[in-house]
Amino acid sequence: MKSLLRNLRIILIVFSIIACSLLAGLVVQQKRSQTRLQAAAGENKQALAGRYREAGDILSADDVTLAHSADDTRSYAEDATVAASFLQVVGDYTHNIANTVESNYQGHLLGTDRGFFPQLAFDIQGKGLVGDDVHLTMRADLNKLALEKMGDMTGAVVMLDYKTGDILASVSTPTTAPDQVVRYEDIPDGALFNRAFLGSYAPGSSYKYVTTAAWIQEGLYDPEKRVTCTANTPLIQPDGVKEGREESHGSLNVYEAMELSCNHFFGQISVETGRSAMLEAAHSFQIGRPIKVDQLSGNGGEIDIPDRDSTLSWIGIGQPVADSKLYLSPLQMAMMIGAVGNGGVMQAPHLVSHFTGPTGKDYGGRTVTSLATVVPPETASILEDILLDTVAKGSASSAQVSGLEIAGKTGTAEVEGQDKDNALFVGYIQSEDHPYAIAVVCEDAGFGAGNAAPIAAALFEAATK
Amino acid sequence: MDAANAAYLMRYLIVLLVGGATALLIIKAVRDFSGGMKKNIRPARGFFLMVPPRRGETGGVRSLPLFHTTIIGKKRSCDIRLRGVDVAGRHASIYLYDGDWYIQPMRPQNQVKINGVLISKATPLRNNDRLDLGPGVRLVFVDEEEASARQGLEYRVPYADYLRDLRDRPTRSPLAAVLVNLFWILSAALFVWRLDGDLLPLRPLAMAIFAGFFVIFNLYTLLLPRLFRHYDRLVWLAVTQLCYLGILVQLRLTFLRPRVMEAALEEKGGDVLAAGISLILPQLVALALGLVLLPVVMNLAARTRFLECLYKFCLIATPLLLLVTLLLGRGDETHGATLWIRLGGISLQLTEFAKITYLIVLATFFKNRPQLTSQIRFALWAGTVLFLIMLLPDLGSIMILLPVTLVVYVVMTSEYGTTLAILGGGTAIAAISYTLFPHVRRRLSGWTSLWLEVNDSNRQIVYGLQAVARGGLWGRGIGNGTPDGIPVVASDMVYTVLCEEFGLIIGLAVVCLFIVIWLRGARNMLLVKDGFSSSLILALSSMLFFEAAIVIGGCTGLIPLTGVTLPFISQGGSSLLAKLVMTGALLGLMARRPEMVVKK
Repeated sequence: MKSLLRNLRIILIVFSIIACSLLAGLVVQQKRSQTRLQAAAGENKQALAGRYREAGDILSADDVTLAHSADDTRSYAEDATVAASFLQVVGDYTHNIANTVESNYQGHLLGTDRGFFPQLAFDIQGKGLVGDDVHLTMRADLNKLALEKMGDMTGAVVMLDYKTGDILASVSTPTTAPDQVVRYEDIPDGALFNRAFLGSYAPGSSYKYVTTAAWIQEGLYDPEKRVTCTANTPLIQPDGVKEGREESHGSLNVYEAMELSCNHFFGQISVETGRSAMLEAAHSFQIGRPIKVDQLSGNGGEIDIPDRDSTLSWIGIGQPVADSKLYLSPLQMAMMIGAVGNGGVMQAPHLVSHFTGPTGKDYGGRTVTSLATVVPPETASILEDILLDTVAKGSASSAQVSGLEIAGKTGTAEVEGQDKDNALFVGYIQSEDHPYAIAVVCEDAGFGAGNAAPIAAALFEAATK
Repeated sequence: MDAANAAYLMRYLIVLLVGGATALLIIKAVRDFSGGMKKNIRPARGFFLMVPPRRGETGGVRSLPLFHTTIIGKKRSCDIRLRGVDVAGRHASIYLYDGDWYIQPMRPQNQVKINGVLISKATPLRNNDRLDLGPGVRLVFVDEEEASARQGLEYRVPYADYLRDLRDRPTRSPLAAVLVNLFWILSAALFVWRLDGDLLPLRPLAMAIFAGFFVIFNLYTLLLPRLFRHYDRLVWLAVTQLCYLGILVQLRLTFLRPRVMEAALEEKGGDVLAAGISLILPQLVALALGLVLLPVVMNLAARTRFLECLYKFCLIATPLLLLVTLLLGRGDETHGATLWIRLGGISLQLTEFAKITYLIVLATFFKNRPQLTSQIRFALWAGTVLFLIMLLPDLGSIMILLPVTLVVYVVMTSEYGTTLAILGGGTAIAAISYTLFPHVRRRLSGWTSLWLEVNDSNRQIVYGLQAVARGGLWGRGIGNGTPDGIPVVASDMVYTVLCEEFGLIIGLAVVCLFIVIWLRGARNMLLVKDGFSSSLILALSSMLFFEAAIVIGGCTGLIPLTGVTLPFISQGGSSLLAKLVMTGALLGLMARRPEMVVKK
């Protein structure tokens, strides 16, 4: 009996250890799965369908319902074009698309992220299961227009307010109907990819204003400086930057060079500015730093220049060659050009303007914060002057809208394995009331002036009406 | 406010009710256990050993107390220490079994003479037997009752009733009983409220189920203590709470799951009530049958020596049940095990009952510290049984039976070395089964890759964990969870649904309730007066705990998942019935006192 007692004591200790580790383990596992398994790939689709039955709405800034739950089902925008244009941003309740409002704002939409006491207050009012409505900064009319203008082209459009950082439009093509994504049927290739936020494009000539900024920052700015264009003869033998055409632009200064988008001029000034100053300018424009768009993420691009002038001259016109890298996301292009319009200050981008709780009370309004000063105001005003000139009488004239002061630059980037070039346009409206910046990328489309700039013009016109 | 939001609001109250009841039970159990470890051990009344004075010694006769298992020898760990030239470290044990006292030499070479006759195995003792354990070491066994009967006197222990009351004051917790029932009434009301729209015809059925079990459980709570003086109220309340949770979850997983209801409706031609009955009937029948059997089994265990008599039957029945399953078993191949037997439309899982018979054999062998030869005999028998289970293959049962066997073995024999060796062997078996059985390998790889990716082998656990995560601390309220999509959600993964709808706090409370049962078992194994009851109580309560721990740990990714049911809660009639029979035996043995047992 004595030994029985002793043995039982030992077993009791063993059992206590097992029981305590089981209890502690359960708490740990719940915490772990709350942080790591929610909104993860491979989530339980059937459970999600049940969960979103009572989820809050997603609304655009112009109060168009983009996602709505009623009668045990969740449906997306009534207008098919609007629904398709918001697909990669709003997402789907089955989370087949990652990095969307539906997946990253799950806690708000389902009302599961509240503190104990606010939740208790809603519970007592009988609204505990109701989720929050999420209001976006994006406008359904602009987004719809952007998608219509993109037509069959693959690419992305991002428009934002450069004073507040609010994203007004963001379209990625190809796209499809959200219901098809929910069913996971007949999805066109690449339709689930948010090109606007996560795409990675060589900026081509639309990068030339950054090169100019680097040149100005290095103290080399001289409006009278002239470079003579040598057409398709490389600037630096044997593989430096050259024109894609036979005729020379002749001798030009920075205004004329930007108007005509002359490669030799910007190749020349980038070599004069030097590799480290070029990199410094790129970094101050936040290239290489991941972008946070509220709870979503964006691609912050990348830049890498080997210590070789011929390659540097290509980077000067936004075209990565050989082992160099220069890739930006459309969102980032819009933020960068917007910073120029905002006197050199880049604002943090926002997608969600505020939430509406179950009782109809708004909360969580977005706050305007600046991300960085990318260039001093003086430099920004020089750049603005050049870019206004480029739209007014230069290569970007197809972006003109009567009555608006538009600054901007087209780009045409060569992509290996594509028949045609990527067409780009970045620009903004110089206005206190309509401080809108835009980036348009059309893949495999040809010239930026012909394809991308008119889309920007149409959106500017619609946005300022 | 609609039913869903009401359930959402009431979840706080439900957590408080279940949490409160569990807290009360566990506090009482722990206090009772820690306060009474030493106090609980009391010598058998009316039986003792007498030491006659040696020649030339002065002083009177000394008497030595006997326990249900008393070890005699030189060592300090012995209950009775004797000095003598030929007395071994552990010389002999005297134990009570089946109402009789036995003496058994610990090793065949230890000299034990009864009235001058040398014995080598367990031998019954009578009043006035002279025990010689070597030269000059003589003890006399005294059975006071027999002695007085022989002299024509009536044997009565003075103040027996008073002493008994003092000793066995029952641990009550009326508040916990009230909380458990409030939980039941509240959740029943919420559940019935949720049955609206198309489900309206199910309301009377649900109300009948809730009311019926409310009456039965409370009848037992009130009545059984009257019938059994030492009825363990804490264990019964813990079991009641677990059963309540089980019925609720099972009703919720059938009635409130459109997918399941639609399938049943199609089968029944659109009759909602018939569909509902067809879904829940097996579970209800098992529960009702189990509840009817419970007092019967309890009575047999407490007042008769029925379980002891079953020993030989169980010795043969255990492998037989497994063999039948092995030969005739059909089941879901996808889960790797074929455990079901169909008998005229009813499918039975005989392995659940084989576990009970196994435990009876285990308890009989280890009712005292058996000799090495009988230990080996048991090892051979148990090895055969475990091998048969492995052939099924039902690794979940092995994961339960092996630790239970070891616990009983180590407590009853103090063989720490051997236990460690067996643990090592178990690890080796685990390694072998890993290489032999593909479904084990799959489950293990699913477990190790749990936090890295979602794949076919871990989807079950990931979905389960997501449900646990969704529940948070307070749960989502009855019927507000989303159990769809989780594989085998009603049986293996039922704990995750419990956590989603009732919250992690109640999830932890469930674990605590199994701890309460174990603690009561451990305490009562010291209180009962024979080794068999002692070891069977330990085996039964440990088994319930291990089974719960393994399935709870498994479906939350703490250990690799094996197909085990959560006692009292999981879907599965055989399992539920077997668990209630086990509870009956456990409660009966705990209530057993020597004076209650019918004499032969």
